[in-house]
Amino acid sequence: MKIIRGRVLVEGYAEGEALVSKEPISFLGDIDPKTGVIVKKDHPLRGLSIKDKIFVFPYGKGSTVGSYVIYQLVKNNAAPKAILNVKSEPIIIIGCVISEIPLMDSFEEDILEIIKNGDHVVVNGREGYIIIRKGL
Amino acid sequence: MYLTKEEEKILSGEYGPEYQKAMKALVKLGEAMGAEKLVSIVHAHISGISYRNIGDAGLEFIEELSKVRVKVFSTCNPAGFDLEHWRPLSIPEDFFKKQLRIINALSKMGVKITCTCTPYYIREPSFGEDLAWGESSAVLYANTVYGARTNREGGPSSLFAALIGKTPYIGMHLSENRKPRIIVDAEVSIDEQAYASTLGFVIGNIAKDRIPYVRTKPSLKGKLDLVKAMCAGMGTSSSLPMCIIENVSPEAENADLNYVEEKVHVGEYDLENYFSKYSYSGGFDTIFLGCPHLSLDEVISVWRILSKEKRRVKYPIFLAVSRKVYSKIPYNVLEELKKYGVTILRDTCLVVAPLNKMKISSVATNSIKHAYYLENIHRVKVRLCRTLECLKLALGADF
Repeated sequence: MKIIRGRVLVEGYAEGEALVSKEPISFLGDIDPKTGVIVKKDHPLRGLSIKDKIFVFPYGKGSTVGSYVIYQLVKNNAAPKAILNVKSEPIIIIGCVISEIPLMDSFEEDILEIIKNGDHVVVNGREGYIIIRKGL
Repeated sequence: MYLTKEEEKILSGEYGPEYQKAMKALVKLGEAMGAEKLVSIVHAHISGISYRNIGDAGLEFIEELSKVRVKVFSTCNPAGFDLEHWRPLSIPEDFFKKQLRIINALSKMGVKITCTCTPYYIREPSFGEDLAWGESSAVLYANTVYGARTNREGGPSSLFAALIGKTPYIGMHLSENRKPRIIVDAEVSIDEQAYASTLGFVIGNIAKDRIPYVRTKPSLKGKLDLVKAMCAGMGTSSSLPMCIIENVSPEAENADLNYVEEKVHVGEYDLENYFSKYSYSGGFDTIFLGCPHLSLDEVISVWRILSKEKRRVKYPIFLAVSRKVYSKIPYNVLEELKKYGVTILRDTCLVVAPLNKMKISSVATNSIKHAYYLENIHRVKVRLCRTLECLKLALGADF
């Protein structure tokens, strides 16, 4: 078990299985808004869904429509439970604000190295820390 | 975050739930980004208005806000089809109606229905002016070419900023965040859009979130159509809101290079990978030029090339422009282009259109942004090639 402190951008509490993309994400184009499946052609996680996951990636990139894709994911019941970034940018932040998805960034340690796919992660987006339990 | 009395009133709901919702979101965004206060803006550009990309969720979101009006000059991004020429494009009835509901909601709010990704052709920003723009390519262009100040607003935040007339005072609005952190020396013959946009894409990949100081050989001075293409490429591969281009950006001459942590070289070879990545060959449903929307000069140069050939194209060409640029195209040019098999699309582009319904599944384009999104969003087979090659393909040449 490991605890890492970070900055809370959108408050909330969530726990679930981690899905870690080492690459930045453009929600428009990379993620199917209906299913939450990563559809980007050469993405290592292609074909996997972010639905109900703790979705971990460095930062958002690409189209400014990405915020609406996050919002659509919630309405379509395909959203991640929480998002953890190395550093969030406005498109991800506003997407999580209107969708009420807990969002944290600026962790004390490198979350892309420490969190592995399948780890169980508790996101305490009230107190400002995450707890990582290694997956099987 | 510090709020004025008036802003507090809006936040407490004194002016109704719509303004309150907008203010709440801006305050949350501002606090998350570490802003001290909000700053007044002169122009909001609202992205995320195509029904194709925002769906029912986005439509309802915009309609819920449409009881109230925007506080500043506001424009909007492209819609799912040409609002005056949609029937021949096989746009389904349901899509048409829902897109019109979005447009009507925006119009009711007082947003100018410009439907273009080139808001700088509608109203040119001034140096140092604060804006709140969505549309990554336009954000890059405003900061890079005019030295105006805007963050990459997400679709909803650009709409909130329009309603309040303000945006969080952070990021690109502050001089200290506009300093370059990487120098890119590009030795690439960028004489047309495909190479310019791909160079932008490559620079975005390398720079990531660090503002690049770009030196190109040959210089991009005065070649704003190419800078526009470059900005669109960079916005696709990165989260960058600006770059500084030598001999182009007003902030280039006095740029503070003390924060530069890396210096990289980009050559022709770095670009070729992308041309081989998007190298579909075979028949094309359409040849698309106009990402970002074309300037008048770009339309005229297509017309010049085609008018030398004086024959109808084998594969239809789409040229995408804003209504404003469309209104400036000389009559004879419009007529001739039509005769050659060119359709001029206003208000839209292929990325935001319902392509499966329009039966478009293979496209050649000179824009890496279009190539990227057409492949990822629409599963379209794409060929990325030089502008001239696009036109030759349209005329039936084999490559």
